[in-house]
Amino acid sequence: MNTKRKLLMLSIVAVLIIAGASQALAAGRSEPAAAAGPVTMNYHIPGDPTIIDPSANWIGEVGANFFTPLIGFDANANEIYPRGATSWTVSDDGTVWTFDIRRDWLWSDGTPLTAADYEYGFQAIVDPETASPTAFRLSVIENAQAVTNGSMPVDQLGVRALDDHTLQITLEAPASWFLVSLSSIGYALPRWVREEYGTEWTNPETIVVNGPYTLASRRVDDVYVLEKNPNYYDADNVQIERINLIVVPQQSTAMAMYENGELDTVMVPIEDLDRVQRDPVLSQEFTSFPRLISQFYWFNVGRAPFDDVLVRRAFAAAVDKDTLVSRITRGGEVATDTIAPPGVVGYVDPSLGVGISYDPAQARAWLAEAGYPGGQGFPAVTVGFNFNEFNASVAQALQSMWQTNLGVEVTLSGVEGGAYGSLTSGGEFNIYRWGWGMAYPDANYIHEGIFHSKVMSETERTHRYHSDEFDRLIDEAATATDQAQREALYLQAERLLVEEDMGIIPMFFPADNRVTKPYLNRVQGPLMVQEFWNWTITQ
Amino acid sequence: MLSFIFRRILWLIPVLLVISMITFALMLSVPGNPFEGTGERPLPPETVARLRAHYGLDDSIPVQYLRYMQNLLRGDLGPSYATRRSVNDMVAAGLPISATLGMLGLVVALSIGIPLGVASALNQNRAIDHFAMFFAMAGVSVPAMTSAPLFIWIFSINLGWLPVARWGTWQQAVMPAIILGIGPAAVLARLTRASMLQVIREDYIRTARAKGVPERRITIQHALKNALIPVITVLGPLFASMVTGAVVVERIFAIPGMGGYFVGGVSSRDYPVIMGMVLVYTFFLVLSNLAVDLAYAWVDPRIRLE
Amino acid sequence: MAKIVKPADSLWKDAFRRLLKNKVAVAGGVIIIVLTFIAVFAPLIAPYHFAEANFEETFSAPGGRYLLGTDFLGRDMLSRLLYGTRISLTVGTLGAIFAFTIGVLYGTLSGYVGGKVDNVMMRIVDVLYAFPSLLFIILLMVVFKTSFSAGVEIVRGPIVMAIATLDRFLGGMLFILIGISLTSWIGIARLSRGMALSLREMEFVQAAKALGAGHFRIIVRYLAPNLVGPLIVNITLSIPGFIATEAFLSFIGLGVDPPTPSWGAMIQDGVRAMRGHPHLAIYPGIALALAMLSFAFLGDGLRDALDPRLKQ
Repeated sequence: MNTKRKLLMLSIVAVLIIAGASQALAAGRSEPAAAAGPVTMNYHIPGDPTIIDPSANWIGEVGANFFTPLIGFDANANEIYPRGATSWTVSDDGTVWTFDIRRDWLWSDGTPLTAADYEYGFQAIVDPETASPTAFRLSVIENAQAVTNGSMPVDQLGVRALDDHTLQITLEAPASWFLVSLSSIGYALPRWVREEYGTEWTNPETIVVNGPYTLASRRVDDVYVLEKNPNYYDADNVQIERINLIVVPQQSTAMAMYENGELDTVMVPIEDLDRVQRDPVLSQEFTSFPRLISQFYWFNVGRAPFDDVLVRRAFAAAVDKDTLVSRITRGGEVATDTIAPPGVVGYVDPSLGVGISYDPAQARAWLAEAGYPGGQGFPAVTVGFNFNEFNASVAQALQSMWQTNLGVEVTLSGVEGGAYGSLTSGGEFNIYRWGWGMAYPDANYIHEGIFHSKVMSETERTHRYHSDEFDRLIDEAATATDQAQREALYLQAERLLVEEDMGIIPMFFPADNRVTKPYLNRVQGPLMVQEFWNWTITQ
Repeated sequence: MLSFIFRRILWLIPVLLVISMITFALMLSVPGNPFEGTGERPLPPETVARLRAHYGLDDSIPVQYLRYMQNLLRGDLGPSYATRRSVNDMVAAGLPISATLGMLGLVVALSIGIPLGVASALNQNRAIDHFAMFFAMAGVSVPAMTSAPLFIWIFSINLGWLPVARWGTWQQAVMPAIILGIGPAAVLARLTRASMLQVIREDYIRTARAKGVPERRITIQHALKNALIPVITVLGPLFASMVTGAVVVERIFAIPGMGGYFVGGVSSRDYPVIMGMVLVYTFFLVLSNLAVDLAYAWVDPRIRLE
Repeated sequence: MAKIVKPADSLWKDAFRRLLKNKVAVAGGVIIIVLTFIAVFAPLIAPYHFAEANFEETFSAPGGRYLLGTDFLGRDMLSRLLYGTRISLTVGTLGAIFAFTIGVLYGTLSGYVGGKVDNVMMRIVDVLYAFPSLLFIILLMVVFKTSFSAGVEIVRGPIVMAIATLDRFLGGMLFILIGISLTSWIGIARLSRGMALSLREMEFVQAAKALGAGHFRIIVRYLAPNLVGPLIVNITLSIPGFIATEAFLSFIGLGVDPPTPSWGAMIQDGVRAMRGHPHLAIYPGIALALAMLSFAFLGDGLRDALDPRLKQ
């Protein structure tokens, strides 16, 4: 066989491969129905909603659309309204909550919904088998901690279905924030499905829901198709019939897809904010909402030099947060000297003057008082952050501010992915970045959730700021019933945390910057959750 | 020949063994554990302990390795710790897409690179040559992270010819395939040029020319076939680098291939995903290298497959 | 028939003379020398330090006080570009030199000797070669970065600490270099082995063998010069590849430590803001393309100059 023929054969093979490839492209990839079909929205998600089961994971951005919690929370009006429960009462001592569960309401498979489904939903969260990262959120419920650490059976949890339509929750202590926290935890779950299919039960073939939408189909890492659940109790008021959750990991790509009409709403990448706000069309479609997230930096108080409160104060006063948000991050972030975000119970208004604001002269004075005039003799310190472009920008700006304002040497250490948690818990860095999003609008969530010494590990207690006085204030605020008293307690706690003891430097509250097509009427959901059932499309 | 192929396929066993050991050792030596997620708040220590026990992560590394290999023999790549999906499913869904993309990229690379290289060599040091080589250099110099947004801006947003992203229709495959193929096309063009220049000075070409063989025929039949030999050697690694290198292209164009799994797996310490991806890619590479070797021997009869 | 090859020193002298006649190649060489000069003397040339931020003038356009504008922190783009030359050139050239030295020696030896030695050597390469190099380098980098760099106080032995300190001093470049060298020689070894194998069968090598030339002489005099052409092309092409690898690693958080500038990392940063502030991506892009074109043209010139067949 001569070479010419061999080359020809090779080309034929190549052509066959191409043909096969295009075949593979075409096979099984029909797009969801076209324009004439149901009212459809194309929504961008940056990654797969990996675990849809609300008992096994955090309720992500879209997770709230599948199941119904006992109550809803309207972030704009700051009001609680009935959802799974139509009404509720609380005992005089504030520890026993009784909910009337909605009647004449079916699961998507036609099974009637009862209080037992809610009971099961709560049990699933604290069940050690589930290993839920959110189990700590229910720790105020009677026996919850004992169940989670395996020393008590699941049915001892203080959540009981008294009959088909009455659910009773018993708390260890009164907690004024408990009710509102139920807007994002404690969803009813279909025991018969969950137990039969294990972790696979939320696949489109098997999922049974009681929320506004069900998962109709999915192609992993590509698209999740949500369809309206006709059995949802308020289905008449759900206007958008189909939602394509399109997975696009790269934000700039999603932005381009929006501009090309392939997505109906999308977060604006920071780099595009200037351009969007200058653009005559996009600027009309742009909205910016503050988010209930607090970003801050921990000090490693366990070792020199940050075991000295003067040094910590000096570092806090050397950070020009206003410049940071207006010149560097530029995404509508709100600079802050305190930790609880605005809009939550326990927010400390800036006018109260709590916290340490930017004051380079004072910063240098404190550093000198600590024994390092002009930064002389100050050891090199390392600042840790979990690597992404945004965190890297902020860290570099901070590095520059500390070096300029204090004359100290600061090294950055950006850590990718999974090692960050263990490095920070292990106390590797002198200063390190954290953020905390609010799952319900009460400062208890952030103070008790991360700054209370009881949630810290043995190692963390050696290097994270904590104090008995702070713990006491938070414990008291958690169980106090008088709102004004609670606000006052949180104010005292913050003053300790971010001023007197200076355990962390609060930085800013990020914003939700978005463009939305004019035909989509988007309702800003509470916290980080998107409530698609409240959205409408006008044609 | 058949026994050569058979031996090469058998060879896969030690290759996979050694590579799985290297990977296993490397990934378990990285600090961090798979149950922290990438968020800041680690799970409570009791929960982590329970999860570690459940997945057998407290056993010694050799024991873990043997257990993994045992499951592997049964064709089970294990579950992803992060998503709880089976790695088998992830591969089944992602591999055909990544392979298709790689294949399309290779077609782009070959159909641009080789003609460009030949044209360049035949016009050495003339305008065509300089233009072609400049184009080739531009192809290598501009990484996908730069060219992809540029392509999207030009062809989708401004011209409206192609959809921005995703995978499924041929229109959606155009930009990713070109961007994936353009760097390797440049490599091929330069390699073809260099090798062609070398070949056209060989004695047998001059002999053919002296004998009055038409120039066209000399170029294609005599010169090109020999010039392509070094080109074929790089096709294996090139294809391999395209399939793995699709990480960036897949990410930017939101293509649900396997590209992102490895990076994601490493960063969340998702051990079964890391192992699964390495083994699948390895398997794939060995096969494509075998194919290249066969093609190589076939085109150049002087190479003996031993 | 066998070529008549002149002694080696005259070969290189001839080659150099021919190289000087090639204007494009000379231009490429000059640019590389200039870039090397910039890399060495960056602190003297650059108007600002690469990390000096001016928060009042972030994203400022080129011209005025900052010739090439500023980035998102108000850092001078020109200074960062000049300093960036250090990382990018070093990673590119040292990476290529390490990888090629290992790869060519290994591959030629294996291909030339053949038989059992070739078999064993190539089986080793085959195993490593089957390791997807991008995955390998990511794994290596994660091991390096998290095990070495993150440790502040944890005692890990003086050698480890010395390496980690050196890496930090070099802005995180050392590990990138090691990672690139460790993963790239394999393909080169295979390539040179393939060529050696094919050359071994050529008449002039057979003739030399028949005339009683020693192995070493054959490798150095007959094989190596014939390998140089295609390999130089590969080296010049792999330098951009290594620079791009560094950029890719920066992209996923495994590259140089901020605020150390590298062209790759600067392009990464710039591309994101490309539509609003094009200068952030364009200048490092031009620098990168210029360096790569220079290497390529110099490589082409070298290839032509070194080609033993051009000598009649």
